[in-house]
Amino acid sequence: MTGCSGGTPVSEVRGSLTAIGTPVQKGPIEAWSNAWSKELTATSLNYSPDGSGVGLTALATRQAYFAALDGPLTAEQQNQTKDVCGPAGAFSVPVSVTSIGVALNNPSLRNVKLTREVLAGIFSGSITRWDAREIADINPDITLPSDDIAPIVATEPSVETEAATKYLSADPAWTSGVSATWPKTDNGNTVTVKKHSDLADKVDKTPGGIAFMDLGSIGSRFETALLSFGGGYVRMSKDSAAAAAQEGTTRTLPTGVEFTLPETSNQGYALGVVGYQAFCGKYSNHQLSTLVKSWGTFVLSSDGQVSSTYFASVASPSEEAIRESKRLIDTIGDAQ
Amino acid sequence: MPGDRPGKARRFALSATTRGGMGFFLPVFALLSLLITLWILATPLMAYPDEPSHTIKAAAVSRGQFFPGPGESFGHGVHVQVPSYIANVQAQMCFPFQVTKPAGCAPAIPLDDNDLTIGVTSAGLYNPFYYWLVGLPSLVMSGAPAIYAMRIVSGLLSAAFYAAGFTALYRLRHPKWPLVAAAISTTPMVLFLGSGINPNSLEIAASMAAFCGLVSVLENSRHLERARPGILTVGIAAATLANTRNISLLWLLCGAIVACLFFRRADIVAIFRNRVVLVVTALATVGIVLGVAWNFLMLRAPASAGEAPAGISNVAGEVRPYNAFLTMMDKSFDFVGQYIGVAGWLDAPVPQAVQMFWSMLLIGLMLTVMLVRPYRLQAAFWVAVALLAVVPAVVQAALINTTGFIWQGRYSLPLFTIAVISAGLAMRFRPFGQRPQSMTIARILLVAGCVAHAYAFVNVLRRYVVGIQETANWQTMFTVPGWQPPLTWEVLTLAFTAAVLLCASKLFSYLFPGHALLPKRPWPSRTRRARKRPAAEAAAG
Repeated sequence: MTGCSGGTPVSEVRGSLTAIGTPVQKGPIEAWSNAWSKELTATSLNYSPDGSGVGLTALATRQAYFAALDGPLTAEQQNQTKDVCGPAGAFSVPVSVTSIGVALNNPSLRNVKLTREVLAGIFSGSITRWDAREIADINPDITLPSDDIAPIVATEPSVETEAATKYLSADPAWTSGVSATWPKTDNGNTVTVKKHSDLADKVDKTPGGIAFMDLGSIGSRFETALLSFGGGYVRMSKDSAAAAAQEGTTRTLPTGVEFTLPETSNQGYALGVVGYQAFCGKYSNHQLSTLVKSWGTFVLSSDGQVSSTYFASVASPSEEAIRESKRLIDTIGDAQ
Repeated sequence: MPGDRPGKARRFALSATTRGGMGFFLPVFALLSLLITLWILATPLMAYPDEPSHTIKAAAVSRGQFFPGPGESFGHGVHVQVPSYIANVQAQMCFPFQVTKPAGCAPAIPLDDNDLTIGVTSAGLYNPFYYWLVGLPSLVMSGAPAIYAMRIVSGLLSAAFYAAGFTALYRLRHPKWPLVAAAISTTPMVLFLGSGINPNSLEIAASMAAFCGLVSVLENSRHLERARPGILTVGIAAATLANTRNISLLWLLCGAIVACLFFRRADIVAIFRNRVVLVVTALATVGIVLGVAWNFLMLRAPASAGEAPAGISNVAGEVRPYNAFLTMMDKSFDFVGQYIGVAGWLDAPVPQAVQMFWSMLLIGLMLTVMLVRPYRLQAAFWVAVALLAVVPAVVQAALINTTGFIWQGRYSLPLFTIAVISAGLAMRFRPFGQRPQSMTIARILLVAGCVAHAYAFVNVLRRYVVGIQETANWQTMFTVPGWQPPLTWEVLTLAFTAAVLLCASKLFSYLFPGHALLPKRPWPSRTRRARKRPAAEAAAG
């Protein structure tokens, strides 16, 4: 039955979805939401990027219909959702891969290659100039500027920082381990900003600046360093990120689907963050379960993945991960 | 006892002045309600600024959700439980900000989507008074009819306060210029703002009513028994304002300052010797205290889990408060267009001709005030104009580091209305010309005002029916309408034109007793009479 608003006919898939989660998925979720609502005009999505943990709590306290997470759901987290999501609890599926690049602000630096060891030196404060010997050794064809290096980091904890420190910690030169916050250094050139989202503007304003940032923020605004993942040096791009994602590994567990980027890759750019979304297995009514299932199906569809790649510069998880995730989404039902 | 009856009857009977006031109030209320209701029907659901958030808040408050609980506040707003069709009003937003796009893209709102669902509102911490009243229809109705009914309740509230304000002016000893000014202050924007679910319009209407009521009370400071409706108006409007938005009390203060400046200190002191004034002031104070207490209570509301995203907060760069103040002062005249008419989400401006006409009226009014002597009669008007420029600038400067630049013209409309009516009050002792030339000028201006209102109305309808394109597309409104409001745009336009003409003719008849706005006889007979007149005059001479 329709009201007197005189709009388009009522669709079976309709209603408002509310979700809370990680800021990393803000861009992709906006892209999915726009495309999903364009196709299904009687739907809307409210997404608040308040953090992965806040999203999970919201899902477990009936304040969200799905949560966008920085990592896969753990068994303990799944248990917390059983009151709301039914006896099986929630499950999580990988939905995107956000590539993390090394952005540079120095017009003299083109195609500069940086190793884990050099980056560890820069971000721990032992390498402070662009014409340092360690950088010159791996860039013999480039005339390096005799400028100071200004490492720029965000002080808030973030999954991007965790991914960057995980990448660095594979080299013994990085002694601070994997952490969601950058360790404090004695390097007087280090510049800090409060939020990760403020990094791009700060790099833009800081000559000699260098920072780990996501591909969406880097765009065509900054030159990026070429990194090595066990093979040759690779430039960060949508294509190289997609190549790495296809080499990732997929595991299906009782908590959902887990997807891991490869440690090494010859041609792929394997530094990134896998984004997950957690859904309930059961929702309180048919309209809601239909709506959530429609969202999950769209996000994992080729149209959805094309939208997020095009508009938010994220890569898709591997075909196998998508296939397994779709299978789980199909199981979403209602309690009625 | 039989002997008590006449006494009781006298006590409860309306006095002649109250009856006279009601005789003015009721038709004005009916006419304003009609105009606002036509705007309600002409404005697509959620085509009104921030209407989704306020609609969700109203439905939640009417269901007893007054306070946000712990864990219910997030960066994008407060989560509430409302019927699914209300939670999903955001889906109607396919056309705002896209002036070329008709409103027909919005999906139908189902009547039976009544399961309680999470709704998100950025108005979660606002005072619940307005929302409780406006949300009531959603308890007994569903779908689009429920939302239209919520709009109508909101519109009726505004119409009641505007009518009370007009009535207060009507009861002045010299009411004609103030009433003319109040009519000028009723711009297309003021009527449009009455059409949506948002306390903005109530704030403007209650500010206007409180100001006009206070003026009528102060004028009758020696005979306050004549001003009881005015006293009640001020009390109710003040208590309402205190419970509308936290900034509304500022408008009340400004209105009180300007109103007091029109009178002597002795008049102000005198009103506080009256028992009715003191009782109403005490009751209004209770309402004001409750409103202020709500604001303090919300300072202790459960913390939000995140920061407001762009759109709700517009903090950008490092703008200092003094710079924000100067920027606002710099833009003082830029807001005038929004006082006259920029409907929708600032995406449905009234035509330039309407802007020009109303600008002419405003400038004309201001220049006429300059002719008023002695100068002290102008003082309150110029203070009102200064407050209109300075107060929004101060408020914006104070908010710059927490919300960024958020100011829109509609926020200043309470002060705009007070300033325009102040012009009429400053001129109230000037004789209101009754000569044929004066009548002709008034007739031309009133008919032009009707044309301007109707043109603004149909142009806003055009924006939603076919979109505003680079080339003229009036004909496609008939041939290929991309959206139709309830009753069709054609019927709404005819009804609105008729209603606005009726308002104008009532005003004209009041200003020029015994004369009608539109000639009652057909033009040819007038022409014949005019031709005969010189001969008759010659014979008489």
